[in-house]
Amino acid sequence: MANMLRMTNVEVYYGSVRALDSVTLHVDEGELVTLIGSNGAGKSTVLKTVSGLTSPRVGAIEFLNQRIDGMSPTEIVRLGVVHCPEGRRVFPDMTVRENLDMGAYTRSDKDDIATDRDRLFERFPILHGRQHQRAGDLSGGQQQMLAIARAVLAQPRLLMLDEPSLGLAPILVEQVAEIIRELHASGTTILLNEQNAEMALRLADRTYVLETGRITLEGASEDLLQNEHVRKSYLGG
Amino acid sequence: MVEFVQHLLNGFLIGGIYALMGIGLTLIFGVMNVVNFAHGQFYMLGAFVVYTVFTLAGVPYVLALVVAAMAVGLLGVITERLLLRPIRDQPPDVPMLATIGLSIFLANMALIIWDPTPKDTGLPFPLVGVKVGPLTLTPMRLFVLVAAFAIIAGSHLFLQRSRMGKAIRATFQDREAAALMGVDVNVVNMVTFGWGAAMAALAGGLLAPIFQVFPTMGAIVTAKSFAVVIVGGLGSFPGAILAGLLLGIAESLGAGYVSSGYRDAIAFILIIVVLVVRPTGLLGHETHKLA
Amino acid sequence: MAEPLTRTSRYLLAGLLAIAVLLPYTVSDQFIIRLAIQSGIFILLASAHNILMKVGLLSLGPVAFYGLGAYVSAILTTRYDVPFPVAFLAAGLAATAAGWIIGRLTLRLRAAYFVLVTLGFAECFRLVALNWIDMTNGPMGITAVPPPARWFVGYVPYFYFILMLVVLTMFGLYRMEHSTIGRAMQAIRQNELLAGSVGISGFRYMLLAALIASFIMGLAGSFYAHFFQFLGPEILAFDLTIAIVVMVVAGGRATLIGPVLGAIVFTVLPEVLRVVQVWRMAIFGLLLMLMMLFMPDGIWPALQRLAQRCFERVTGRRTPAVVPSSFGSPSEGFAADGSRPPVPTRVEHGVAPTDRSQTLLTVERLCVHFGGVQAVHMVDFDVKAGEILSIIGPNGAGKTTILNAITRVGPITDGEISHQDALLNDLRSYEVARRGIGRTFQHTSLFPDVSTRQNLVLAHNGLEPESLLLNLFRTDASVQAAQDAEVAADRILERTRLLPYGASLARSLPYGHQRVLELGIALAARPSLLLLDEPAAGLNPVEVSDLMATIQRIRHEGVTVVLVEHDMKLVMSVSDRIVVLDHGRKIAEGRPEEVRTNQRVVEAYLGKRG
Repeated sequence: MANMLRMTNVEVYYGSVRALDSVTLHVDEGELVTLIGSNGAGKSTVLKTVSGLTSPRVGAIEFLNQRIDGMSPTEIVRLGVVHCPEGRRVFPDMTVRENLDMGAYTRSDKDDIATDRDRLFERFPILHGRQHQRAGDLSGGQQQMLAIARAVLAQPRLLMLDEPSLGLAPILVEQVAEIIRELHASGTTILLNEQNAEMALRLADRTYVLETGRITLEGASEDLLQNEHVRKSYLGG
Repeated sequence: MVEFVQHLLNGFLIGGIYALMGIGLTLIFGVMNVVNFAHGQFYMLGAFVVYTVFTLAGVPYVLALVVAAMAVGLLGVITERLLLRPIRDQPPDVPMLATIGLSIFLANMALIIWDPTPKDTGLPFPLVGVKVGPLTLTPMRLFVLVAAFAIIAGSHLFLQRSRMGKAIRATFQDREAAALMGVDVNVVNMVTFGWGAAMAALAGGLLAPIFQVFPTMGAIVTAKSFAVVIVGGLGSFPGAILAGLLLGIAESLGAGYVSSGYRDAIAFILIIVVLVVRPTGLLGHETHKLA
Repeated sequence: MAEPLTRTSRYLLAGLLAIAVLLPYTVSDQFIIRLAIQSGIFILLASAHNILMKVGLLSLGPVAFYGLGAYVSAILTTRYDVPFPVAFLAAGLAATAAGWIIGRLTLRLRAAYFVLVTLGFAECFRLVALNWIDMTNGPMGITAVPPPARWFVGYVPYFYFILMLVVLTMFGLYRMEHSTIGRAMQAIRQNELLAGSVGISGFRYMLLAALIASFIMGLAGSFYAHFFQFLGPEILAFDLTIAIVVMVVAGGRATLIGPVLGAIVFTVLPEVLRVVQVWRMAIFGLLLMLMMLFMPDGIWPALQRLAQRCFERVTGRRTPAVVPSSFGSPSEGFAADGSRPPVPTRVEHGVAPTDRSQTLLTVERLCVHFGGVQAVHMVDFDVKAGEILSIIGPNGAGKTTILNAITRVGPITDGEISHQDALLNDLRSYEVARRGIGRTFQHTSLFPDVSTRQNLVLAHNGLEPESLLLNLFRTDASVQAAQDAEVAADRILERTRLLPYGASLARSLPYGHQRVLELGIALAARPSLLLLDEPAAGLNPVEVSDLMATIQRIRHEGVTVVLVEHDMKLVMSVSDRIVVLDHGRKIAEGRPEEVRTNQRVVEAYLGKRG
């Protein structure tokens, strides 16, 4: 079975600073794969390179057997790769509803969009209640739900989530993890960045550990949970 | 009293035009983070296209306006693509200086193409006073008033309802997030700049029959557009409208009752007042920083 | 290119100076001398404007100060028979006064508005010059402005006069750049908020820059009037403003030489283009656009690159990559590996031992409301000397808002905050910093384009005396201040184990090290109370352990710490007391064990996992 997403020997530079070094990873259809590592390790860079916000200097990125490195973010979104960026990034002066609609920007099937939107409102009643409110007035947790819902409305074939738990209180982190679990269960392929390694390892099928731009460990999550180095560095011993 | 209302009306008229200029400039700033020093030149070119097409070639006035908007709008799109897009990632003074260069270039090319003497476009409507209550309005002024507000209303609808309008608003608020939704930021930039240019051209074309037209008129218009944007709040669409009207009325009343020699200074006095009383502008947020 | 001057630059400058001095004797064409004089005027204007840019201000109205100086000088000498030297000085002072008024009016608000208000001022001034016929003669202008002295005949005396002014100005600017003031300005341009948190007042330095710049421009204006001996409102045309800005930026901003080169080029260029008369300005505009497309950082840096490439091609040698010079670090004179020659240490004023029962900071009934949201409502707490107090709570609970209120970076709607019995409410952020209250920020906040060591030097700088005269003339005090800063910086580099990264650009450091550097910056300002905003965000457990140890060590040295955090492990193990917030209100306070078992806290915040 071919991989859905495949990165091969990718190197990315910001100016003269090398952010990613020979990164090779893959995601198969239906998997939930996670990237863990401390901030600055390059996790966000991986997602940004896949979604087209930056390009690799060396290496290749393939999605469903098609080369996507060098393509613009617009084209990549149309292929079905949706990146939910770090820090939620909802459009603050647009309503909740308008934010959701932006998620469907690349879709043209109006009726299906409406159906999907209603389904999302059912799953997230808080968003339904506040649909005409300014997104900037929502709390952090609510904005994170909106960001995820917005990404889901884009009908992603591959959904990439960048640190969805960042800055959220433990009780909200639980809720977000639950949502991700549901999405995975319903068949969505997910690539997840998490600094909260514990949460990430519990959710994911497979895990990659990224340290200063290189992949240092990879494997089934349950194996990595037992790994000495991982426990010490990311799970607090 | 009648005189006062007359001044007020004139103020509204000019104010509507200033609002048109301000909206374009504030959107260009908000979406592209560019301070467009050539904005007044688009106004001037709009006036000259109307002069060439309507006065010299005899095309009907309204059609001439459309031609002006399209021609200058196209110029705006080309400018964005060739001049601004390549330098997008440079520090903010670079695009600013580039637009300064463009401004100098356009003003002087206009001087070469049409000579420096002020031109009279002639009136497209009969010079008959229309009595509205105790006031007298010429059809021309009435047309300008209606047209300006119609264009503003149309712009608002465009931004709120159309797909491209929403894309522009999204890019304005968070460029990267918009790109991740599939918005083609390059297209948004071109449309925004072209549209701003087109609105400026329409403003110029609308005022052309009322005032004279000459190639160096662009600079002071640029300066006043900046005043409108600052007073209204950087990046605020409704702020630009409010500030535009405020400036127009202030100038009209000031010139009417105080002194016309200092008319152009009113814009700057207004800036100072606003800065002291309410620094972010009438309707502005803290978010954007100029240069 | 690093400034201070390298040996080759020194020779180059000496050569240029020699050429300049000998110019009138080697060239017989008076036109060239005149052009040189005009260049001189523009060099003054461009350099003065460059001062503004060094502190992060862009001005579109230098013309106003220039014009004001010209008119004041002309009017004083023609109408009131004031002798030239007095009029000359008066011109400078008048311009400075105008700069002071505009600066006070606009710089506190948003420095960017300085730009447009100066523009407006220029316009208004032009209209006044045009309309106040009695004083200024309106559009006819003032004629028969007398020369500076009876023996000023021909161009040569003027040439030497302006040359002297230029040399003095350049020298003064060079000295300023390599002083405490220059470093403070650099800090402000890099990160104004951070500079405020270490005691550097953005407003005061910007105002200082505005005053110096306007003074020089006023003098230049006076020179203009007495050189051309005629003065009309066209001096105030907007075009002149544009020309000056163009000179500075095209010549290469933030360098000393750049504006000089830009001024010369842009004085000479229109003359050269005069041949094509009608097309002159259009070509000028076109050239400007092309320059921004292909040489956006200016003519001087482009020339440097060209020279470097030629040098390499000729000698076959590759020169080592240069740290980008557009934000050149003025006072670094170190070897490439970041080491310094040893310097005798000076005793720095230590932190006074604190009595644990003394209250250091009091927050009473604090309310912060914005836009209808009650971010913080009626919050009370104390901070005792020598303790580590943590503030925890869900996102949006108001924690950072409180820190911002204390450091006066954010608003206070109601309530009082006192530090050692002095009210903080009406102070500005740099004044709070100078009282010994330091902080770190939630989002990475550094001086990005200078080295790690320089970051610490700039931070230490904030508490130094800022007298301009002291810096220009008493070189020994200035050098001592610089050395103290270096020593302090080194000490912190050691303590934070960042010594190997001393010479690296701050923005290229790995994230974990950047956070450590931020802590170092806050410490460099020698606080007695340190506010840390989510210092553990983004760190892995090993780094968090290091952070814990560092915080305890800081407290051990006598610094009181207030910690805002999410990381429970860190908070529980390091805090003496904890304050818990939820939706802007305090819901619990006490020792870690008490808080951990408090029912309300568990419900609101900790969820299932305590």
